[in-house]
Amino acid sequence: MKITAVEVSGFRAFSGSTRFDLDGDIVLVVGVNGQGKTSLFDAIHWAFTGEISRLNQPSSVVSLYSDSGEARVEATVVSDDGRTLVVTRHSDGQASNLLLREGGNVFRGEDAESELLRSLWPEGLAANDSRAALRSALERGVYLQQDVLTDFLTADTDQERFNSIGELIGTGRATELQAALERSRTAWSRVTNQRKSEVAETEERLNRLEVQLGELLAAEPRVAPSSDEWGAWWTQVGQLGVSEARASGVSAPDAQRAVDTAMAELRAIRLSRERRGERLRDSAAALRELPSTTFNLDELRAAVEAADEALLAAQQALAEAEDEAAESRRRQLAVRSEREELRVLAEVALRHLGERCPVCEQAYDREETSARLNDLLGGTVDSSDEQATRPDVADVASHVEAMERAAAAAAASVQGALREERVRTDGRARIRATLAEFAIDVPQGGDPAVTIESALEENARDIERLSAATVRGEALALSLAGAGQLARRLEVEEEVRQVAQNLAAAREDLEARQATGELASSMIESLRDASSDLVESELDRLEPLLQRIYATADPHPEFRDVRLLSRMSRGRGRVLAEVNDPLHDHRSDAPSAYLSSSQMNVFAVSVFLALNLGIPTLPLRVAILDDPLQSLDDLNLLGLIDLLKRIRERRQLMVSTHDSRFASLLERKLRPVADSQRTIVVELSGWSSEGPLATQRDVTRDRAPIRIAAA
Amino acid sequence: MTTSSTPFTVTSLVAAAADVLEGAGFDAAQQSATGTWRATAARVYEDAYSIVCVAVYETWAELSSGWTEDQANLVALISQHFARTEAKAWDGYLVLLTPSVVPATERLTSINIQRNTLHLRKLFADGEELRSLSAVRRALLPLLPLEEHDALEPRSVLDTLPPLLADRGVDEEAAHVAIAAFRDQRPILAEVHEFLTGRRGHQP
Repeated sequence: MKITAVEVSGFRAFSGSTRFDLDGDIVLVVGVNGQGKTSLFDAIHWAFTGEISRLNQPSSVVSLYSDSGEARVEATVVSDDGRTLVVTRHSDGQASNLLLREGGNVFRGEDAESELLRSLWPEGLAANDSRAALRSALERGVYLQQDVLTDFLTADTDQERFNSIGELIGTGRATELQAALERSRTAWSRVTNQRKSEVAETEERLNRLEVQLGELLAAEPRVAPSSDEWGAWWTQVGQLGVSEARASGVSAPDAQRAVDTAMAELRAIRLSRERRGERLRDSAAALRELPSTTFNLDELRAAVEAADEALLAAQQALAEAEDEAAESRRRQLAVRSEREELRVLAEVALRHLGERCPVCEQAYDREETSARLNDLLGGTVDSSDEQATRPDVADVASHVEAMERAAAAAAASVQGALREERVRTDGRARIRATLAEFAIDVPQGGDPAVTIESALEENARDIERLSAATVRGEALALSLAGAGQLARRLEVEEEVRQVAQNLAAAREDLEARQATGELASSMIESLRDASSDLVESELDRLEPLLQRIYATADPHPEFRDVRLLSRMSRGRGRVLAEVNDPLHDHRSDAPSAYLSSSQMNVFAVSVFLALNLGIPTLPLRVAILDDPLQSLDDLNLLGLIDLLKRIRERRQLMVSTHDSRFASLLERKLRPVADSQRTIVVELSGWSSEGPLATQRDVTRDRAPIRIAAA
Repeated sequence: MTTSSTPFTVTSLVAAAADVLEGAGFDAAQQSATGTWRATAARVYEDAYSIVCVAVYETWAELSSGWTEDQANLVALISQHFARTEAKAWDGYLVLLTPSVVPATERLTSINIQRNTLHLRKLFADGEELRSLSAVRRALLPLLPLEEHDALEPRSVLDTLPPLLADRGVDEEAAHVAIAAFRDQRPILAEVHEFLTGRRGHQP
């Protein structure tokens, strides 16, 4: 990235608007102090960073004489591949805002800050505070400010130097890599653990297979059954009702399974036969237990009718006897009532018995009458005759009861006979049904018991045949299993070989994965200390360049070597600046104790240029030096200018000076000597409230630079 | 005359300086241009920016007594080809070399010669410094363009990591693979694993 133009308005010394054409490889800014040289370089720096570290107040960037009260800087930069970025920043003294244009794209605010960083310095994106890191990178590696010219060597602590160089070289990228590796290792470990489990499972499987193989090897080998034996058995079981469809062949792979299925059918048939025998035995027993007595129901029913008739007659006689006894008791009661009345009359008459009848006044025999009346008074009713004539109801009733018992007995006989008949009928029906179920016919007039017995014998023979077939089937299955064992052993041996091969591959894969994981851990651990390593490495890389630059200026006759050394102390990185007298082997990490201020300036500029040239990822391929020639003696001045002359091939160089003599020297020394070179002189003078008067001109190119050697 | 402290003779010093300057793009002027100078041997070189005279003296005594005359010779030579108004007329360098060693008592004199910037910038080296060819180059460094150095090659900090990690025992090639995967946002360990596996597969 190279700066081609800057437009400044309301910024520090530039209260008005001024545009600078900076599209050269050398830009010399000349003007006495206070004419805006530093303001111009600050404007460029501020456009990219929005802040100038040495200015405490953000508002101080706004010119006191700004009409708008705002500061605005527009910097145009062109990348090595020809892309043009226009960076416009303005501030009202409180906050600054950025506008970034690239091609047809326009970014504003934070988007513009991010895009600017991405375009200028992707390395800085990893920093915690990217804008601060960009500012630091520019101040350390791009813009050497006169106020802080030697700060890096004299004012900064060892640790601050270390941090500055760390940010410049982008150690944050190493931290990002470390974080990415840690994430990748976590995911890797998860899968590795899964693979470890799979290996353990495969080991278990192999163990099981080896045990199985051992058993197969230890087992006694058996001969496979012959085809005849095989066929005979299937014929036998076929006759017993087993389907022969599965009997494909003794050497068929499913022979054992076919036998097993047939055996299951045999077991089912045998079970069926056993149940049949049980049912037949139950039927035979039931047949034996059927009632054997026969009854003449007509006789029984006639006896019932006779008993019923006798009972009816007895009941009629009983009714008549009861009527007669009732009449007798009625008559006996009437006699007793008449005699009571007479006794009452006799008692009354006795009380009133006199000489004459009180009723008719007739005379009567009192004695006789009295006797008579006493007789009536003391007389009893003779009911013996009546009782003698009364019928004996109890006897009749007793007879009736006897008749009733007889009738009931007759009826019960009939019921019992009927019940037995029903039992016999039902029992025979069940037996017939059972026989019909088993398709057993009882011959006409035949004895079911004989038929059942015959069926039971046939059933027992079937069971015996089934048992024999079962025994043969088991023997057949055993032979087949024994013969199949060899095939199985070969299969297991092959499986063991395959699994062992897979296991070896899996173990190898696991070990390789674990080795990769360990390597990742080693990388992560190493990256933890990478910051100091990187700084040390970069300083090692920069050392020849720093030596080269310092030697070009060659400011000190004895201390002709300088180095930046990285050290770790109490867990923190430090960078020391060292000067060395190689001829007398004197060295010191306190250079200001041995170098003059002029020599320290050269040392500081050398370090700045070494960082600027040596760190290729810097945001801008520009070196801006604000009046670096102050307090330089003639020798150091010439050395520094000789150095700057050599920088132009690699960097756009912007140098300011307050000294017109030095300006002339710079102009001569940094003149263009090729068409590709352009040296611009910006002269700032006559400062007013509108700002400095800025004029620009190009230094004339030397058209015939080589003459002595060409002569 | 040579001293025991330097391997160079006047001739070898001139040759070494010529080799460095011509290798840096300087053109040599005709040797006749310096034929009558005080130096034991002197050569003039020129590039687009500068005119350089390498003057080699057998002894420090010859150098200390003769350098001002040779400076005048060089100024005169420049004046023959460039007007005072031309920038290059002010871009002359006089490189004063001797294989002898400056006596301690004369050290200040030698420093003062270097500090003298009148007319030309002077570079100086004696036998104490000039102990190798690289020392000759070092003496001429202010005149040489910056070299294409490793430090100038554009590279990310990530490129510097593999050798650093290797110093800590990490496989350097694997570190390169990991960093390439990180850059391309590919699964890092999968890439490293594939690389390690492939390498093992190629090992006898």
